[in-house]
Amino acid sequence: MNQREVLEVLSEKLNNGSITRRQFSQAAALFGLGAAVKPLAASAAPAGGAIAAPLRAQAEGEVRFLIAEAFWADWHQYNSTAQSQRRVGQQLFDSLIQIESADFAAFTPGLAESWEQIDELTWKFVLRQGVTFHNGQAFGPADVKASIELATGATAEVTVTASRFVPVTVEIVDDVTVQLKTETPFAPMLNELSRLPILSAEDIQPSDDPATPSAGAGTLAGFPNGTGPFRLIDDQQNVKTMEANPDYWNGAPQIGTLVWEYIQDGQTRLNAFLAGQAQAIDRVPPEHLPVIEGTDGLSAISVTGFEDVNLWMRQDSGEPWDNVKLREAVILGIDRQALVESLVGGASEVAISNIPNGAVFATQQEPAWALDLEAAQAALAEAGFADGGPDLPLWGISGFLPRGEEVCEAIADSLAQVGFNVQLQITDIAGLIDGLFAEDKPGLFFHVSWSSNGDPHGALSTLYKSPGAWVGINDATVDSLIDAGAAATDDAERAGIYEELQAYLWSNVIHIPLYKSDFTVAHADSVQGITVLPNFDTIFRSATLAG
Amino acid sequence: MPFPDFTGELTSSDQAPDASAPAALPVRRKSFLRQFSKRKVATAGLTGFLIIVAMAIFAPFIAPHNPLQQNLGDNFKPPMWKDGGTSEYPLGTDPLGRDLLSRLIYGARYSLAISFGAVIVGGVIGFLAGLVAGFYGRWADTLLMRLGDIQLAFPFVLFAIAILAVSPNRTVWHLIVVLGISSWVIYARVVRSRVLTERSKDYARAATAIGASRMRVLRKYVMPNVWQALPPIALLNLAFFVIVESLLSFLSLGLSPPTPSWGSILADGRQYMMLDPWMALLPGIAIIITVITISLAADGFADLLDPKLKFGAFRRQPLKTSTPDIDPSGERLPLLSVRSLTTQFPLDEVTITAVDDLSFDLGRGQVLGIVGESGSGKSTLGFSIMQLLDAPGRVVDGRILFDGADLARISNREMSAVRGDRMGMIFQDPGNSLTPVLTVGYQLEETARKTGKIPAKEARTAAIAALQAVGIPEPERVIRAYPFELSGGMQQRVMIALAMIGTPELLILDEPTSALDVTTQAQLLDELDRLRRERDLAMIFITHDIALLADFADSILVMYAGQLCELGPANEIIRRPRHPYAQALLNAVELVDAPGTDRLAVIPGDPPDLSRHLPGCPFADRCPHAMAVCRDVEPKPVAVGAGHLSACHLHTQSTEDAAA
Amino acid sequence: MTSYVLQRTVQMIVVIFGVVTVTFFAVRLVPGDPARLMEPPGTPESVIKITREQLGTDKPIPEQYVNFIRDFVRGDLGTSFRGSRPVMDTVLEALPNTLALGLISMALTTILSFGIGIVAAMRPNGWFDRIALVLASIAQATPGFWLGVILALLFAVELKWLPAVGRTGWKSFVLPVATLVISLMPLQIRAVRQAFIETMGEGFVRAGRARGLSETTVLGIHVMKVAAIPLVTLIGLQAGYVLGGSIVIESIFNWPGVGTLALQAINQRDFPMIQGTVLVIAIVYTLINFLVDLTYAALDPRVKY
Repeated sequence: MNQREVLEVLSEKLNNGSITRRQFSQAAALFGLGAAVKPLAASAAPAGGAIAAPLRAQAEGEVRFLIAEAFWADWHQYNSTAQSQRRVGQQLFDSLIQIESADFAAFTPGLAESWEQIDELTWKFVLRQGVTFHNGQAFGPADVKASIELATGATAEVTVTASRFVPVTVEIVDDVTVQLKTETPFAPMLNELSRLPILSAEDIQPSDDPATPSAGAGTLAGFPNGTGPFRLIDDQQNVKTMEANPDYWNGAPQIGTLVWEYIQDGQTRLNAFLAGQAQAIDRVPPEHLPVIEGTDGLSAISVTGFEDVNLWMRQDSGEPWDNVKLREAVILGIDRQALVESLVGGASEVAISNIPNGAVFATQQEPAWALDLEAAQAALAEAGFADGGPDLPLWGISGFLPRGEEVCEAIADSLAQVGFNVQLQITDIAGLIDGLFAEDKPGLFFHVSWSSNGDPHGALSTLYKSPGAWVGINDATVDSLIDAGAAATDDAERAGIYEELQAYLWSNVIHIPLYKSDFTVAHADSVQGITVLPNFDTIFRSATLAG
Repeated sequence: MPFPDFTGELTSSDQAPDASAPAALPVRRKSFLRQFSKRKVATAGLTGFLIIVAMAIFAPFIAPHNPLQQNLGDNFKPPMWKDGGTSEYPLGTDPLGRDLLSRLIYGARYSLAISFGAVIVGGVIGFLAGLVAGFYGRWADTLLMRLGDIQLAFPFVLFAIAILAVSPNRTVWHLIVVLGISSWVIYARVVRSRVLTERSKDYARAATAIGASRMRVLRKYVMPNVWQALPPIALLNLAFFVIVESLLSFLSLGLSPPTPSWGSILADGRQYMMLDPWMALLPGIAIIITVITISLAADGFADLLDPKLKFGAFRRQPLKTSTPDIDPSGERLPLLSVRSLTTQFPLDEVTITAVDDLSFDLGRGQVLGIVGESGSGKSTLGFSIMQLLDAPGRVVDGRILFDGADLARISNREMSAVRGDRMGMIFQDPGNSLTPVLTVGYQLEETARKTGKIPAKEARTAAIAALQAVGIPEPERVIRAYPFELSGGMQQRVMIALAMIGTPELLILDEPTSALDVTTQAQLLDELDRLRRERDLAMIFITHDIALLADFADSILVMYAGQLCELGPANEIIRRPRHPYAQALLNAVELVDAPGTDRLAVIPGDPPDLSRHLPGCPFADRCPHAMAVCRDVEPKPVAVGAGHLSACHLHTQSTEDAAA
Repeated sequence: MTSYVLQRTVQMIVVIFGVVTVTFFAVRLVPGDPARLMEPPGTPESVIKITREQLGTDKPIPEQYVNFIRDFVRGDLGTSFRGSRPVMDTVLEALPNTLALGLISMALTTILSFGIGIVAAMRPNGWFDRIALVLASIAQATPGFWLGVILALLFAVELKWLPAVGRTGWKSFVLPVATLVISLMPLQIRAVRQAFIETMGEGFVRAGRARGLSETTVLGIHVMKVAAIPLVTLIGLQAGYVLGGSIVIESIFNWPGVGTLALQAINQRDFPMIQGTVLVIAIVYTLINFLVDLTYAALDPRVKY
């Protein structure tokens, strides 16, 4: 099919109303027919036969999904920690291997058709053929090499993802085979690769300008050129409109147009959903669940998230908080069971370890640190504060974590009973980030969450490994255990190491895990088969539309 | 700041109620509370508000629970009237198991404390700024007022966010400062404009001239009047702050938890709106009730401090009864024949009889002067004839035969054909009688077209001619002018031109010259006299200055308390008044003819209360010749000469004595 | 007239300059390093330093101020921290939505308020007047956001008659416009009523009737022209309320306007965007008041030029 034919088909679809004018111009631009709006459009001239499929596969239905977290500022997949970035990225990009169920040790093929671990330091991946990026470029081993080396810190460029990895170099064996090599054993390799989007080598390092190492950053930040089931057709600050990728190797999605929209206010999100203006919403708080379940045609999917909601304590604050007894007084003074039962509800669970419940290697730790005001007061006295505790600045975020404000109030009330001088400060996300990172470090305890991907390494290394541990700890025991956990390639050995690490963190009360949060996605029954995973992945690729 | 400060704008156009209506009852300081208590709605508002304030103050004694006491096991309890509710928590509990009723009661405390505090902060800053700007003027004025403009241009919510978002621990003080600062501009503007007004008044200027210090002038003369403007604004501001406090909580910028305020309870409850609507509805209702009570009280205060007659649209109702046949007809009627005319103002509690059983005739080309003190009903008589009484005044009895038609009874359509075309009226204050925003030409042409006597095309020519006819030089220039651009004398000439453009047969002049200086007065009288002669125009000339009428009127009607005192030929009454009141009026002129003195003040005593019809002569209390009979029997007009009537017992008791 | 316009123009520029200055310093008062907020947590100090240099926030405040003013005059409000688009583009894209909402609300408010206010003023203390005043008092006492929340629940969620969020056609205007109109009307009804009652007591009204002008002419031309003068000022002030209040109403209905943009920018400490939205709102407001002043002058010949 030549360009003229494409134009004719598009015009017809525009006239019979199955695509909008905007989609028309987007599509036209993609096929090089209109004025190129984005640089990538210029290079988009796909092979003839590929076009018929998308047009047939495009479904009528548009699915609008309202999310609670703002989108990240740009599209750079390796320079963000935002959950929203990863989650929307998952619709647009593929990784080598995937996790598609709640079993986080079960990997399925992605851009790699098969893989095997050659030795402690080497993995081999056989890549899928005939896959193209959204801009029409063919996918190949060079893309894998460029992506993984950039993401893991094997190049000079600094990326955020590198903190979860060890540097990985990629050797291109042939057109379909790559070998990944590390200098030290890296146990969570497959888990981490399962959430590493593969980008186009051309975007990472434009071939015409190899001398500028950061030249690709602009492209990567500007447009998400992936191989994923959806491709971006309209990019607003709060609304990302995607359409089904007709060429998707795993079958084009049934959802023709997928819109992710950020709406800050929870009640407004719910209103839009109940009014039928959206087909799905996420982070449904427990108080809204009965309403949704009581409404015909609406359902909810709840999972216990790999999200450790905790009182994040600054471990480098020195006196007097370097005294473990003081920290014990805090954890003993919080009724975590009541928080879960009376406030957070849903599928949330009291935390049993510093590793999220349900994640690989998480085990119940002792003591359980159940509420015991007398023991808490005793610990406080033992720490030298018999006549009233020290200042305890507690910062929370309003309207972010479910019932966040109430949880903070309950904790503040309870800790005040222990004898702490609690200074509760409820602020917004930005205010909390200020409190965390500002030079004068005004906060001490922060009610926040940290999510993981099932394997404990990512979270543990980011949070506890020095230098640069987010909680500010600098503990040789912890560091060596984290390193050992990453290096152990035998699962039993790893389990042993993590057992030791968990016990150490738990008994020393290195920050205070509260509960594993509930993650609920509500959807209209007209959309079935949305996959919701404990790591907050919300996958629309295989969703079906009723009717 | 969205708080509108139109108060200053609207009250700046204050005007005194017209003399024809009974004067508004003046508010005296000592009876302030009593006056207020008469306003039932305002009293209800104030009482409700005081109850809420009392609830806030005595919260610890009223609230059944500690508002901060958490009890996670008892959370989300519904109100007692719902399934699962208990009397322990009458309004249920919140997510942390705190008693909602107690939180609402304590919420009143914090919401009101914040609002009161903010009113004080804003009021004090604004008051001082307004004083400085108004009193010192110059650069201080410019600076402060521009600062106000800038603040008003800055959206309040953003301003609040800029300050509150950066203070994670927001206390009552934070909110007071933010709300207070955001509201100073309105106080400053009102105070400034009041200061400017008061400063320019005579007494303040005089005090400055005799060397009183600025501070003294400020304290003694300016401040008392400035103070008055503030309470209604402060009350409205208070109500507004109660709402804004909740708005800030809604934006997560309100009081930091766990302190309860209505706003924070509302914001907390909003998330549970779908399941437990009462959690958001109750604080919302508390806010609404509080704000309503405050506004009702504020309205009451504003009414009291600045009472205004409420004029509605003009509504004349023709008398339904048939014309009483007082005179045996057959004789040739004069142009205007008024018989037994009675005009009343039924008010809420009393009925004022402003014109009482009055009769007189007026022939074509004749001038009738009507004299009397203020409140004697002379203006009301004029408006009765014009059928332009303001509600609730109306002619209740008698007839007004104008060229054979009874004006009290003809239809509205017929009456408006009479007005302007056959009858005109000139008022005391020409500046107030011309529409300020329309040019002289527009008003003249509009009137000319209305009469139907002048083709639309010739309206402009007619307007210029009308101006020329009343002796206005350069009519082409005046026609383009706005009323405020003309002098008082010119304005009154324009008024006369407006009245004359319809070539009426009768012109009623209600103190047409009392607002003018003596020279202008004389010129205008000459002009009127000329018009009368040229056009055979009948006139009713209402004045309190009997001396004016000497050369001008054919006959004079002296009125007292709405009644006829004396009616007769002008020269006779001027030369030899018969009624003691008429004598007193003339004596007053002779005694003190000094400028700046109220001539009538010389007659001792006050006019009687027109709302009570007492037996006897209304002038008896002030009359030097009062006899016993004067207090019991109302004197009837009796003929004391040819066409000369006087209503006094002296004439019937000892006609000889009086004549001698 | 020309000199009056000139004088008001100069005054307006002074006010805008003041707003720009206040905004600049207010935003800088907010603690927190924008460079750090822009980068993901854990970014090394060296990288943040580079970002700071790129943003220009490493320079002394007076220098930043001069640069800011220079850029502002050129129409450059900087680039959003969230996304790489110029702030000006984003704000100008959202502004029509805010203006549409505001203009429709103001127009509707004015029409309704004049209608109700005038009818009420015809018979002060009559039944219509009393009912109008009672309803106005209740509406005035109702927090606008609370009303918006309830309207959304009732008409969008329960009855499903109208959309709950976004701008998706004429129907989506109904709820936010209704919320704004109900919040704005009470004050305007009172003001219209008050102005008409006061004006109807003026001498020129009686004088007009005395020369036989019809009641329609007296009320429709003479009273209307005089009573409208203070109301123009009120409408100008209310326009400011609509612009400022749009932040809340827009957030409830997720209206894609400047208010939503501003609130989000504040939540994310997107300083250039905060500056941009505040400035645009303030400038629009100042322009509206400039127009109000001119209208005032045109309506009232007594205003000295």
